Amino acid sequence: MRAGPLSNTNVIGLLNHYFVPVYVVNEDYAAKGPAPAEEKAELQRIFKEGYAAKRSVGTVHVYVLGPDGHLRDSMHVAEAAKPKVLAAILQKTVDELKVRPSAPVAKVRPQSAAPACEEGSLVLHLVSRSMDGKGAWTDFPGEDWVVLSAEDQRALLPSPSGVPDSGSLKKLLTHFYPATENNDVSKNKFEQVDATSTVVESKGGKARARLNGNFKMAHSFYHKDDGKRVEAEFIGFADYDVVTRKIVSLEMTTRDASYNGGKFAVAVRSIDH
Amino acid sequence: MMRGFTALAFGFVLVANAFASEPNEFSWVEQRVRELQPKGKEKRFDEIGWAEDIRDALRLAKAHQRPVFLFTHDGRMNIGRC
Repeated sequence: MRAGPLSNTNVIGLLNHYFVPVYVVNEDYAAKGPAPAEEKAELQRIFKEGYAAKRSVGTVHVYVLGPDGHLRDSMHVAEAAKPKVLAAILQKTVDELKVRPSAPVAKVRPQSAAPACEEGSLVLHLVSRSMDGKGAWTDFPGEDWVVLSAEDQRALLPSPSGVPDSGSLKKLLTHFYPATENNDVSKNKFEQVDATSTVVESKGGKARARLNGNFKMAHSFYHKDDGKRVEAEFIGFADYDVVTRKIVSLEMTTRDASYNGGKFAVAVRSIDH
Repeated sequence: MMRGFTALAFGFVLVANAFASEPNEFSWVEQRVRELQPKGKEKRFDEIGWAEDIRDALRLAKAHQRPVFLFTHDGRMNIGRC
């Protein structure tokens, strides 16, 4: 949907000028999901209205509600993912309700935003994209937000052993995978991690560390073990305060990364917060 | 003789590049991180004024007399992990 109709100028215009658009994540609205009970109740109410009216109802679906909140129309994602089809269902509603165009009623803002975190944390934004067009969903990159505590930051910096703490490093590397159906990083299994962290520059209480290495990580495409694994070589630089050992900025990328026969690349950079 | 010179010169270039690559690594990482960032055409999704949640959408719909477009999905569409 995102690469199709939700990137289509006509559909974006219809949604912004005539509708109140909203998307919800099914995992959040599941029985044990974090969405408030009132939210879950509203979604169930919409489903029930759909069943009662014998409309198409499903978890990956488009629903059109009237200004009164009641269901008017619905469509399976396989159909709704076609820009012309979705535009038609939207236009039909606009015409029937005689909706007048106006500016978006909800604020237009980036939908991928840095999470709230404690003072002293390092917020990292990660981008993962296909480099050869192989694999699934290569139309746009995946993103992740990773927060490293003060302790995690210290553990990545050069030490007498020259080897960064693998636990802290894995918190970041576990997000190094291309677009897959499975995004549960708790299921990833590291098979090998080799890394070094060395000082390459030091002046006036500030230093720059070079962090490089390679790893192998089992990451299933779907949620069942399938033997697929990430193999990647990475390199990055972290500028840090020598006394507090707090990282001021960090950039990291993959030199070479593969998954299931396809090539992908990851970029990580720290964000001021 | 010439072949030996060529091999020697080639060897020198390799060694020189190995040393020269160190200071350039930082610039290379900076540039690659920049190049891999999402492009504008990949973030058109952000051009849409999305409501916070269903209740927010219903409140706005009532206040502005607009219909609601609701998309339910698995994963995290907002970060492209879906």
